[in-house]
Amino acid sequence: MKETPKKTSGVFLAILALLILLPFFLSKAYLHLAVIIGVHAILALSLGMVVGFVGQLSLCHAGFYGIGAYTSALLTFSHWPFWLALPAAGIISGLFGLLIGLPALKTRGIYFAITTLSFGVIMNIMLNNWVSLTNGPDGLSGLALPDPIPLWAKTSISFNTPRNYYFLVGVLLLFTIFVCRRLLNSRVGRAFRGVRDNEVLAECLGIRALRYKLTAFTIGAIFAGLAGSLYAHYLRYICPRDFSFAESFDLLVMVVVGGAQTILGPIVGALFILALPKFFGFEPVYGRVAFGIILVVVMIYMPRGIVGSFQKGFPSPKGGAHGPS
Amino acid sequence: MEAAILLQQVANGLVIGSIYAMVALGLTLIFGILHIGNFAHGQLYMLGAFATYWLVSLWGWNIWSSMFVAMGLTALLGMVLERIAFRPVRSAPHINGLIVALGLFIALENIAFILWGGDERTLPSPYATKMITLLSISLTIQRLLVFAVSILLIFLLYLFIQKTKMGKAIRAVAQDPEVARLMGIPIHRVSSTVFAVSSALAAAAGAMVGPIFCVFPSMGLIPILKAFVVIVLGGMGSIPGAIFGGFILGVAESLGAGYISSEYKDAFAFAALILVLMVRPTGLFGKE
Amino acid sequence: MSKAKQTCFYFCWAFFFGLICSPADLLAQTSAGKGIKFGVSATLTGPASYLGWHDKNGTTLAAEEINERGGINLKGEKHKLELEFFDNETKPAKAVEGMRMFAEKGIHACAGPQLTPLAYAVIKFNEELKVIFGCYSTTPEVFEQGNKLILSATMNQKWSIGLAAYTAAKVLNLKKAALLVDTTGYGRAVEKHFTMNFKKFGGEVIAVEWYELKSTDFYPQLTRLKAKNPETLMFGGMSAEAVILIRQSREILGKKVLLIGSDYFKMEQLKKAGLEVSENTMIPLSGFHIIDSPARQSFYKKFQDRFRAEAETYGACAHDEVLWISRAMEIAGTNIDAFKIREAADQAMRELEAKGLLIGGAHGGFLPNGQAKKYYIGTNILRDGKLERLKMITDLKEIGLE
Repeated sequence: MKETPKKTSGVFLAILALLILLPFFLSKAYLHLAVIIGVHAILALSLGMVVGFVGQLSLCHAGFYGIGAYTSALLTFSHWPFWLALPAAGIISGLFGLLIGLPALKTRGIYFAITTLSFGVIMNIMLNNWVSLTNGPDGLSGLALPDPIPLWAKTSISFNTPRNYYFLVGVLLLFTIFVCRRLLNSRVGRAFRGVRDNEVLAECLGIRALRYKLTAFTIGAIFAGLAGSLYAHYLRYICPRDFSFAESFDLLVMVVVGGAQTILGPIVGALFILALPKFFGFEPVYGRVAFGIILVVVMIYMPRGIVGSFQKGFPSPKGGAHGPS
Repeated sequence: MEAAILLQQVANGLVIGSIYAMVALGLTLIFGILHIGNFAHGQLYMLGAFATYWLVSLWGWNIWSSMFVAMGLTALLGMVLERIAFRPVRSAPHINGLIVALGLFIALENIAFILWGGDERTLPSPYATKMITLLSISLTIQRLLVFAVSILLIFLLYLFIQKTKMGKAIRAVAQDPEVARLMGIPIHRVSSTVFAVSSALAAAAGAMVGPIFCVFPSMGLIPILKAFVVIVLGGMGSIPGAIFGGFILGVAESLGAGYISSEYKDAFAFAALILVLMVRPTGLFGKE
Repeated sequence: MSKAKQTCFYFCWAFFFGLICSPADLLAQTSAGKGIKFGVSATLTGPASYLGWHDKNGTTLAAEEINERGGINLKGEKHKLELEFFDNETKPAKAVEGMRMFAEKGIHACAGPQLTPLAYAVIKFNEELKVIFGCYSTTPEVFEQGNKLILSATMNQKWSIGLAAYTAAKVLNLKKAALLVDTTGYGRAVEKHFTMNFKKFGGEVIAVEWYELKSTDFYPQLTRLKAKNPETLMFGGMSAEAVILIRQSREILGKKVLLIGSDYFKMEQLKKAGLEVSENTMIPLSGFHIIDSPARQSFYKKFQDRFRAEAETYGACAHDEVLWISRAMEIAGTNIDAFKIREAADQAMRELEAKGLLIGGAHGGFLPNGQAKKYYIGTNILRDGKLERLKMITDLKEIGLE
C-alpha cells in the first residue's frame, strides 16, 4: 500500500474529528444505527483478519460473534460486571476459534469455506436447541447495561444512551484498527502476507503457514467475541437468529465489497451494507432486488472492493481483492 | 419390523440423496470448469420449478413437456447470467464470483417474491398421489421418479462429457484453461455451454421435486446449501463425487434423524462433512 | 482501466456517497398535512416476509376503513390516518431502530413488531420512547415482562394448543399422541403446552420429533413415529409446511391417524393438500376464521380483490390493532400520549366489538398485561370434505385451564 504518510494521517484525523462530532448532531435513531454499524465494523474487521490477512474464506464468523454475545450475557447473569465479561467473551470466542481453526485449517479454499460454514451451522443449532443453557430460540432478555464508569466529582459515564454507547463502540473500533495496523506492519504481518500470496513458497521459506493462519483465525474470533459482547449489552436482548449463517454471509459481503486487503475496507463495507436499506425504505423488497444487483455491479467494476479500488500497489498473484483461493 | 424401518429410512435417504445429487451436479460442473461457486444455482432450481408450475397450471401441459420447456428456458437464463454477470469476474479472485452469485441469488429470489408472492403452490403431478410398496418400503411414485430421473440425467451427463466433442472441450478446460485456450478451444462457448447444461439440470431437479415439496420463492436456499456441502464432500469438480456425496448426505441425514435425533438432523449432516474433510481435505474424489 | 470501467467506477462512488449522505426517509412517504401518522413495523424482507406482506395489507385496509368513516376524531377535529411503514427485516436491532424512528417522528402508536424476538428487543425501549404497539406474538412470556405499552392481538399457545389437547383427549377420546414440531420458539411452545395439557386430560405423548424451519422432507421423522403407533399426530409448524406435512403424514402413517394442525393451519391448506388426503385432520381455528360477520366478509373480499390472495389471521390481527389503537386515541383525546391511549384501549376494544368491527378474534377488553380477556377459538375436523366444529370456547375456564 503506497500512500504518502502525511496525506493519510491528515485524512484520517479529519474523519476521526467528524466521527467524534457526529453524535452531537444525529438523532437517537440514527445513533442507534451508528452503534450497530460500529459493532459490525469491528466484526467485519475481525473477519478481514482472516479473509484479508491470510486469504481464507471463513463462513462461521457469526458463530464467534454469537459465542461472545452469549458468554457475555450468561456471565453478567452470574453477576460478573460488564467490564470483565467483555474481555472474557473475547477470550472464550478466541478459544472456540482455536478449537475450530485447528481442524478447519487443514482444508483450503472452498473446502475451508464450507467446513467453516458447517461449524457455523452447528454452533447456531447448538445455540438454538440447548435450551437449558441459552433459553433456545426465544433468546436471552434483560441483559444488563455496562456499569457506569466513575469520573471525578461523583459524576460518571453511564451507557444507557445511544450516544455514550456510540463512543464505547468507537473506542473499541479504534482499538481494533490499532491492533490490525500493528499486526500488519510487524513481522507477523509480513508472514501473513507471505502465506496469503503464495503458501507453498512461504512454507519453503520456513514460514509455518498453519501456525500463522491459526493465529489470524483466533485473533479474528477474539474480536468477533468482543463485538458480540458489545452488541448484547447494547440491545439487551439476543437470540440465535442474530448469529445465523445468513449473518456470516453478510459479514463476508461487507469485507469483500469494502475491500478485503485493507483496513478501511471492511469498515466501509459495513457502513455500505447497513446503510443501503435506508435508501430503499419505501419499497424494501425492491430494495433487496437492487441490493443484489448492486453487489453484482460492484464486484464486476470494483473487483478489489470499494476501498481497494483506490489503493495502488501490486495486486496479489491471482489479482484483486483477495489472494489465491 | 426393525429391518423394515431401516429399509424405509435408507430408501428415504436415497430419494433425498438423488435430489441433492441432481442439484449438486450442475454446481460441481460450474465449479470444476470455471471455479465459480454459483450460489445463484439455487434460484435456477426455483425458477425451473416455477416455469414448470405455470406451464402446467396455466396452459394445462403435461408435466414432462413442461419440464423440458422449463429446462430450456432456464438454460437460456443461465447463459444470459453467465454472459452479463459471471464472465466479467472469471479472471478475478474466486471470492468475487461467489459474491456475484450471492447478489444474483438475492435479486432473483426477491423478483420471484414480487411477481408471485410468498405462498407455497402445489405443482400438480399425476404421480404425486399414488403410492407403491415394495419390500415393505412405501414411496410415492413421484419419489421413485425423482430417483430414476436423477440416475438418467447422471447417465446422460456422463455420455455428454465423455463422448461428445463439447464434452472433451469441457474436460480440457477443467484440466487447464490456459493450455486449452492455446489449443484453440473457445473458452467462451465452453463457459456458456456449461452454464446452460448446469441450469437445465437445476430446472429438472426443481420440476421433479416441485410436486413433492411445493413451489415457492425461497425454496432454493436449503437445496443450494446442501449442494455446496455435497460437492465439497465429494470433491470439487468431480461428478462421481457429487453423486456419491449426494447419496451419502441423504442417507446420513435420514439415518441420523431416524435413529439418533431429529432435533439435530442438520447438525449431523454438517458434522459428517467435517469428519470426511478431516480425513480427506479435498473431499472423497477431489484432486489435491 | 478502460474508459467504461472508469466511468462506472466513478458512478459507483457518486452513488455510494449520495447514498450515505441522503437521509433516505426523504424518499419515504412525506405528506405534509393534518393527518395522524400510525406506524407499521413489519417484516417486509427476511425469512418472515410473508407475514410482513400480510401485515402491510391488513393495516392498509384498516386505515382505509377508518378514513372512509371520516378519519380519527380527536377533540372534535377529524384527521386522516396515515400509515408509515418500516421494514424491520426480521432483525431485533432493526425493530428497535424502527421504534426509535417512529418516536422521533412523533409517531407514538404502531402495529408491530409482531414477532416474538422482535417484541422482546423492543419492549426494553418502547416505554422510554412512549410508543404503544400491537403484537400478535403467541409467546405468553412476551406479555409477562411487565411492559405497559404492549397490546396482544392473538391468543397464545395456552389457548390453541390447550384446546387441541382437550379436544383430542376428551372429545375424541384418544390416548396416544405423537408430536412433529419445528425447533423455533413457536414449535417448542407447542410441544410444551400440548404435552402438559394432553397429560392433564388423560392422554400421553409417546414420541416427539423435530424439524428445522423451512424443511420440506419429513419422511425420516415420520418413519420413526410410525413405529410407535400413535393414534394422533400433532404438528407445531407454520402454515407454509402444512400442505407438505399433511400429505407426507398420510403417505407414511395412513388414514386412521388423526392429524392435528396448530393455530396457523387453515381450510386453505387442507384444500391445497387435497380434501381426500386431509380427511380426518383437525385444525384449531381462531378468530378470523370463525367469526362470520359482515366486517370479516368485507375484509376477506377486499383483500382478495386488491391483493389477489386469501386473507389470513396475520393481516386480520394487524387490522384490529390499527382499529383499537385509533379508537383509543379518540377516547383519550391524544395521539401522542401513549400511556393515556393505553388506558383507553380497554374501552376502545369493547366498543369496536359491540359494533362488530373486530375480525381478529380478540375481544372482551384487555388485561393489565396487554393480553385480551377473550379469544374466539374452536377445533374443527374435516369429515367428508367439510369442516365439523368439535368444540369452541371463548374462555379458558370452559376447559378447565387457568
